[in-house]
Amino acid sequence: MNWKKNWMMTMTSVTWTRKRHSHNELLVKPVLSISHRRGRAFAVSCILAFTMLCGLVSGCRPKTEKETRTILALDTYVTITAEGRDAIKAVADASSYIMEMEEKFSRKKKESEISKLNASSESAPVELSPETYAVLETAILYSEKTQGLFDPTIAPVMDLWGFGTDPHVPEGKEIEKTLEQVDYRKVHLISGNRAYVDEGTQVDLGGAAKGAIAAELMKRVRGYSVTKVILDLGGNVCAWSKSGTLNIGIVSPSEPSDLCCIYTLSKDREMSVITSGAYERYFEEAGVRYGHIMDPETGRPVKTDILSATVIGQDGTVGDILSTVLFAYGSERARDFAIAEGIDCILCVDNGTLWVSSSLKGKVDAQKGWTIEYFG
Amino acid sequence: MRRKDGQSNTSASAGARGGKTRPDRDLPARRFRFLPGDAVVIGAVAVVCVILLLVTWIYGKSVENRGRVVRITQDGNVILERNMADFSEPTEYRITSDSGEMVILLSSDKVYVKDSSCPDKICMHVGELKKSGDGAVCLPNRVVVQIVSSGTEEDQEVDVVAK
Amino acid sequence: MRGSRTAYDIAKTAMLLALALVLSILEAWLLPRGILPIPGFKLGLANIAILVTLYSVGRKEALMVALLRSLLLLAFGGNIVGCIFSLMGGLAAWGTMCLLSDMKKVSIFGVSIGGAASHGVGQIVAALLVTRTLYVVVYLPYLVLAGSFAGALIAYLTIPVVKALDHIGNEMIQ
Repeated sequence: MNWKKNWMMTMTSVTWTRKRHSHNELLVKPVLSISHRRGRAFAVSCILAFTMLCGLVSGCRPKTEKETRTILALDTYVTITAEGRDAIKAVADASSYIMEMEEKFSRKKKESEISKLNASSESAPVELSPETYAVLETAILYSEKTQGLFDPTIAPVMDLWGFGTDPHVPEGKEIEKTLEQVDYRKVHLISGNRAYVDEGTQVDLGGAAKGAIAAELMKRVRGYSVTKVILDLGGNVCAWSKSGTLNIGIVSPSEPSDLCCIYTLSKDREMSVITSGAYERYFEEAGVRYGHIMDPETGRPVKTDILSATVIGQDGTVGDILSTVLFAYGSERARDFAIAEGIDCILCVDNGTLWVSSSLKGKVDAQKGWTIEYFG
Repeated sequence: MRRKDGQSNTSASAGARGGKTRPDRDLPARRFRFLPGDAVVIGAVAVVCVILLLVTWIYGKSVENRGRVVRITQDGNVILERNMADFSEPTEYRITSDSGEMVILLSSDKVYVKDSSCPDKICMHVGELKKSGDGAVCLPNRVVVQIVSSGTEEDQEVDVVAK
Repeated sequence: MRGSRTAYDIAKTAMLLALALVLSILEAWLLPRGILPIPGFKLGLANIAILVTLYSVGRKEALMVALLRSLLLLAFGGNIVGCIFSLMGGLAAWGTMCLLSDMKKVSIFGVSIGGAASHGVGQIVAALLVTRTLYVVVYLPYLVLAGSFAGALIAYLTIPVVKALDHIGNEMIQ
């Protein structure tokens, strides 16, 4: 028998062929037919070989990992999520790095840079790490820009009101006295990453630290082979996705378990989304709600008609500062400031309206009960 | 093909021989026009479809309530992890720590911190936890309350929430 | 003479297998892989070839076409999951088509619709095995429904093919 014919027949006709002695029709009598033991074995091994080969080939794809970790750090709940080839390594590294950063910025830890700064004086300035110095510089810059509405030296007032330990409304006289310590001009920056403060001045970079840390963390995680990174530092979001869009929800200040809108971040753009408001950290006394964002002029919580201000931008430090600033300004001044400084923001205004920068058109989706008005 | 006795052995000429035009093989009969049996088949398929739709609808309803799990951790250790559906009656869950006390209300559709001894009460201001991923943290008491999904498909509309 | 095959039959089967492969590739091109969240979901156009094989050659050959189509698709595409889906769908379809074609009151339309519906069932079973979740059962009704319509269409397309093959067969033998 012709071997070529045999091969073809085996591949296409694996039927039971009874060997016929009669010659009624042109029968198939290949030696390699299935009625033959050899034929069967051959056919089966062909099929097996095919399957194994294909399995091998398809298994050779690089595997993508996905890893999430949540840790208690920086006085809050930090969640790090990454996807990509080195996701697990990246997240593990970021988790330990965050602990390091906590050391730098915490006012409570005696050995932190900020504590040392607060203990410095003109004759004994302290040298800060480049990152901390950069944040301090930015804080002072925006203090100047907002004529003191943002002030990193507000810490004594926060302590007076007892946020974090024993919240209460202090006496007017106490407030007056404490305000004397508050003035960003009492912080002096000198060359070589050094700085000192006047006596009694207490610097707290809490209003900028989270944004700064998020940016640092993002840089570190992106150093690994990853395709998607989402950082959530107690609500302070920094995210990036190489090839897909990300939906970042913004909490509704009147109903914190719902969203007021969703911001869609386009692919391959790293963005920080930071919201400031008085709906999470506050206390109530005699039916009045006192938020934690202080007005450095009055020493009391800012009076504003904005429920929450969200800043979207590439610089996390600035975003953190600006969200507080816009919140404190109130709707009209915040809008003007945002237009003047070119800030992309979303302001949740009292009556269920979102004032959104026109540069964010098409990227923000209002949720039920909220309407958008574009400005700028 | 010709056989020894001169007869043709092919199908076509078999017809000429007055025999069957098709050999007696395991072929199904040719029925190319619509027949009553078709209606039965279509009917059967339709019935099966309807039954399946019902089943999936019922299954969906049960999963909706069974899919969410509330997990409470203290000092990093899980002290409670139960299906939210277990709390058909709203239940109060008390936690004590060296810094104070907390009361968490657990019900089948939502979980929230009813009372807490912490000064800032952020954990209470977060509001009601309903969807998988919602969470409340009380740092002074070192307690975390969160809703986790038990593994069923849940489409997350958002990847992360800014607060 | 039951069970024996002519060389012509085998050639026919080979051709129909090739047709099945081409149809599979065509339906993959027609329906991009994202329409349903199930990976490997297919329309079942290759059932045309299986149905023709069933009516023109025989049951066992039809089974072979169904099996080998899946395996060869694996060779061409390297997608094991898709292969399993084809396999299960094809096997289920072949099984019901065999059963239905033996029933006197059922025409080729009924056979095809039943076959396409069970093709859907076969795919869901495959999905259950692959994903190991119960959730995929949600898609079952829709697959079955869509499959039924496809089945009617397939039957309509199969009839002329079978008749043509007969005609060619007769001509060839002469």
